Amino acid sequence: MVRNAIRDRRAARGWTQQELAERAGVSRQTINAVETGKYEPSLSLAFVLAAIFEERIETLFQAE
Amino acid sequence: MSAVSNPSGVGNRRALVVIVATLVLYAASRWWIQQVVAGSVSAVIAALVPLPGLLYVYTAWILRALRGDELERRIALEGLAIGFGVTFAFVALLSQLEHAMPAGALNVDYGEVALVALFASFIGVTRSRSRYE
Repeated sequence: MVRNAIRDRRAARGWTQQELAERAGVSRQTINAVETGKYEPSLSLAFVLAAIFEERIETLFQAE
Repeated sequence: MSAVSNPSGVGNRRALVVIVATLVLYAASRWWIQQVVAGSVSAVIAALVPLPGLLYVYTAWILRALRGDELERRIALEGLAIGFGVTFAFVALLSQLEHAMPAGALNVDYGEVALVALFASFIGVTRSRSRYE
């Protein structure tokens, strides 16, 4: 299992799930599924999200 | 990067309308076939009536999977896995029953097999989508 800090980072920037989805090039459903831990994103999407939040991927995603 | 459009909502409603329209076309085609002489040119033309609808549904299914994001592709894959598995089991069971029963007693046609594949895939996609919501 991998937990992530996407929801916290998104909330800190005041973005909606739809806004983050548009930046990442995925659907809002995908962002929601990632945030709730129901879906673990691919490595490429994880890198895209890390780049959007200007963080290292391992600070955004951590193995449980 | 541009965002992927919402796969539920308008897209789902349009897909449902096209599928229902194709099924209606299919039923109309079957009715027409029964009105003409079997083996005639008219019967063959009537049999091919649903082809554009079937091609449209197939193309729309493929394009939707290709244009979707990674989660949408996974949902489509899980739906197909369930659809294929159920259809395979159904056909295998039918084959056994065909051998077990007198010739012609089973009375199942390919259209019913196609319906099983369609509904099993639909249920698979719906079930998979609900897992990720």
